Amino acid sequence: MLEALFSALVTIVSGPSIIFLILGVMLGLVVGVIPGFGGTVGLSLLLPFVFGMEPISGIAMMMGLMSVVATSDTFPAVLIGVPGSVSAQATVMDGFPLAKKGQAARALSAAFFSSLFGGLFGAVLLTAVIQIAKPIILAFGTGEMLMLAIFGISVVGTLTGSSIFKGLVAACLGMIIGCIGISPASSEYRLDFSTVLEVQNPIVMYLGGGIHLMVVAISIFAFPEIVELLRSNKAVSEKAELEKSGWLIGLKDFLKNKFLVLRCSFIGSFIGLIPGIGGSCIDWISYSHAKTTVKDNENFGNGDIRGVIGPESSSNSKEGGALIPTLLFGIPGSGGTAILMGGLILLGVDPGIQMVDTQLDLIYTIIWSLAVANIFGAIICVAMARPISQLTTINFTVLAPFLISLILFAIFNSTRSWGDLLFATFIGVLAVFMKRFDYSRVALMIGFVLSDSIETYLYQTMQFYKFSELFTRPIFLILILISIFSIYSGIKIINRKDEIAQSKSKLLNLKTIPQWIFLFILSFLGIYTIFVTDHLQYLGKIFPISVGIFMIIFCFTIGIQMYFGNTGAKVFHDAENLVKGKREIRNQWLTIFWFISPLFLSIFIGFFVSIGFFVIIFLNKIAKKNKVFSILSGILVWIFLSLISHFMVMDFPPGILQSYIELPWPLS
Amino acid sequence: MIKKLITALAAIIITTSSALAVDYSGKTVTIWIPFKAGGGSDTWARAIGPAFSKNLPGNPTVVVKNVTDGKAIGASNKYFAEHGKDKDGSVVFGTSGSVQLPFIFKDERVRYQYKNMVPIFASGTGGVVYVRKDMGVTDIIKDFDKLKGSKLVYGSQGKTSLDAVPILAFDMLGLDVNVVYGMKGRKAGRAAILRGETTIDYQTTASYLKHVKPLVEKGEMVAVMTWGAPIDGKVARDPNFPDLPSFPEVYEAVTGNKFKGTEAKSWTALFYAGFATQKYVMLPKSASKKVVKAWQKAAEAIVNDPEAMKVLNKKLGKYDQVTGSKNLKSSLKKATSVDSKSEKFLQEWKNTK
Repeated sequence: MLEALFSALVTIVSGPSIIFLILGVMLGLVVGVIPGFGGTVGLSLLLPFVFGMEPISGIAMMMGLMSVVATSDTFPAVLIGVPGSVSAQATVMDGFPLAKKGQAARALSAAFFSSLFGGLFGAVLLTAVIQIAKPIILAFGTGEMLMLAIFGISVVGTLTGSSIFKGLVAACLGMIIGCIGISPASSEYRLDFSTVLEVQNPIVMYLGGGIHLMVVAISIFAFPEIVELLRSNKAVSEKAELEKSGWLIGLKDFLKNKFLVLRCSFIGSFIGLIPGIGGSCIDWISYSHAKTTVKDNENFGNGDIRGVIGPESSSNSKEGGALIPTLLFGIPGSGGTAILMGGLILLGVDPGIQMVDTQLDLIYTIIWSLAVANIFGAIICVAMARPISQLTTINFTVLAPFLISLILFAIFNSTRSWGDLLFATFIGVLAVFMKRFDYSRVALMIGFVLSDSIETYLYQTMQFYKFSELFTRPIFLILILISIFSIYSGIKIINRKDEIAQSKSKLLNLKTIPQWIFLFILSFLGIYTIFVTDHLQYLGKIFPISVGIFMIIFCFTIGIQMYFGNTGAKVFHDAENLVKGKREIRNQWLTIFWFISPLFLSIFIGFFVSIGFFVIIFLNKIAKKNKVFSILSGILVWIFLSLISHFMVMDFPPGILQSYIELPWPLS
Repeated sequence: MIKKLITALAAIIITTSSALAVDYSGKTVTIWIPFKAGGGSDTWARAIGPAFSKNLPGNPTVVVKNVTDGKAIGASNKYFAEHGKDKDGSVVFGTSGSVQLPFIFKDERVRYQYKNMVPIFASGTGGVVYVRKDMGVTDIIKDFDKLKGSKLVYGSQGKTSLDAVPILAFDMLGLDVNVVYGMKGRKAGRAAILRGETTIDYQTTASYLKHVKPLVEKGEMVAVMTWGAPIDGKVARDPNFPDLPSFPEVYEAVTGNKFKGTEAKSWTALFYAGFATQKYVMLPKSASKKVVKAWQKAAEAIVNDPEAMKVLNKKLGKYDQVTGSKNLKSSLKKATSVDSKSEKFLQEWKNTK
């Protein structure tokens, strides 16, 4: 075995494959940095080139790309508060506050070291487990998957804000958004407005396809952050330079928390190993794990380095885990590995149980590629950190139009539909108010991600097992205990927060009307869900109706608390009251308007044309830059979009203009 | 500056409108795939793409465009909205079973009409049904009572998906199968039978050969029948599995009835749409005759190209690639048209439990 292991290493570092590996790493880093592009998109871009390549080189290139996306996606997460890909969602929570404090380098450094360790951990685990993993994977039946999903929901308590009911309402809303589209059990269309609109209406068609993860993830986190930064009219980071000492501090942070890194790496690999739960909640689980298991966690969410280290360790280690079922059964454990598998088939390599017997050398090649790519990725990221970080020192108003363009593009790229942009706007505006009134956006995200798993596995578990049968399954029982523990520690954290909140002065909650209005809107969404899913088959409606009922109950509870509590009670929260009186703050609605203005413009002149003009006008009028700079920037954005449109075979949504006049590419 | 732009504009407009003689040199031809990248249809399109590039006049660059706006139905509607009246054949449509079946089941979201398409090339596949070893079934016909008496659980993606073929087949055989919905694809179905949560499953040929055959050889699973393969206009034994009976054979043996009538006709239509000629390259009907000819010729050339065929066979199993306008038309007709009786039957069947 050792001999095979080392000959595979020689294969990968000698000859042309190392060049392809590095090429893959570079691509992966770029893909990771651009918000909205994850390993899944990157790999699918690579597929046509891989076809016809020599297998080892092709594998090296794909693995290079896939392994490092979760390393470089930290950049935007820390620097601008927008996750570069889904696996950096949780990094934003503490990484971005650290950057605002001028500790971006420290956060990046700790993140890269954790990522590197996680990646190598995944590779080692993959090597060790590949030959004995079969019973582990098969032991996870639908009952266990259901419990894993419930465990995922149970961490909401630890991540939510000051009121657990607000967190629960948000989680319910996330699940309702997750219900949009075809129901898993009865194959019916749900919540697509087909009860009020004609079925072939574009809105109905769009919603019928379900909502893409990235649309929700970007709009819910990035939109409010950008609106807020725009309002404050400052640079992201107040300090001008990346602090030089940060790198060493970050490394020290990493070493000091080595056990946390190890635990989170294990969590990442282990959950990654189980197909069906989805990589998108791993980072939340390890974030919550970090938060509950460390001492003095009050600062989590306001820039605690351990909130970066935890999720970053797991985000790279999950790839090693996800490769196990992919290679062993041909059942991919994540979105990235699903496409990787397509690529392997194109190269003539068939992942499956026979691979362990007949093509062990190829498996080792894959593992080594994973390890080597992680090392290269970390080195390049450290080297590139300085130039990339310069971005944060620019006044945000100048950066904003580019960022808004990038985000709109990333959202559109999810399913390349107008609907993505409209839905993201809806979620984005909602998120601005969720942030303002302290409804946990993380809870919504977790609810959304796990909605489908919970519904599917709940239904399947009921069909496959008798109730008593489930309780004889040890893993099922262990998972129940873990979930109970997780809920318990969540309640403990919230209680501690209460004490802190009460010792702080009572906030100036003068106006409560906006909060009441928002609560009524949320309750209405719950009622609406019940109302429009009631005509479906039992299997199609039971889940959304239950969620809707819970949502109304939670809203009602909040309402009672608000009605009987005085304005200083913890249930009241309006960030707007805190910023009142500061003069340099821009109006909330005006900034929201600027955010969505390119979309309005697109309706008339098409997405491509409108984005460029948006950049030009914004830079000139709002950021007060001179004309030459503004126009050049607009042209730059146009060039960038044309290149992407060309290489990704992508058309941008046309407007009314294009329906009257035939325009040449890319204006069409 | 503006002058230059206008001349460039004019040049573009002239070149696009002058594509009367079929010559794609220097051009890009797009295969519109209503599925996401990396899936079965995408891989198939990417495998035939280079082959078409090699064989179309002027050797155009062939690219695959994944459109997932509104899932398979929405993306197919969109193709016809945007390219349904094209003449030059620069954007062709790649369908799959998941595009055909909603059409057969009369999903009200479907806006495409197969009669508005000209098939150029079609690839088919087959499917193999297998059960867990502990059921004690080795020969489905001889051990049919044993099969019938076993606890049968099948993990399905939904009744109007490709799973209509197995579910209707089980119904026709009189098997009392507990169908558990909500599986995410055939891979999830395979995982469930490996865990022992389901007991009966099927996989398409390529996936069966890769993932299930080793298990059959190890004695964990038993293959019992195939869906069959279209030979001389009939569903006959699948040549990839000469030892396994086809579903129509099993049906006739265990029920004693001929494989005829509304049920059989409906099943056959579903089988053609979902398996036998599952993936089509199509042009819109508006395409000029010359364009259609050029594409048909390229398709013929691909079938005669052993390199290209090797890739396709690997992806889909060794099945005939259908070319030639007559063959294609008859297979498309089988895959997309059902007589009114079968249609009524399928509508009713869809709504039963």
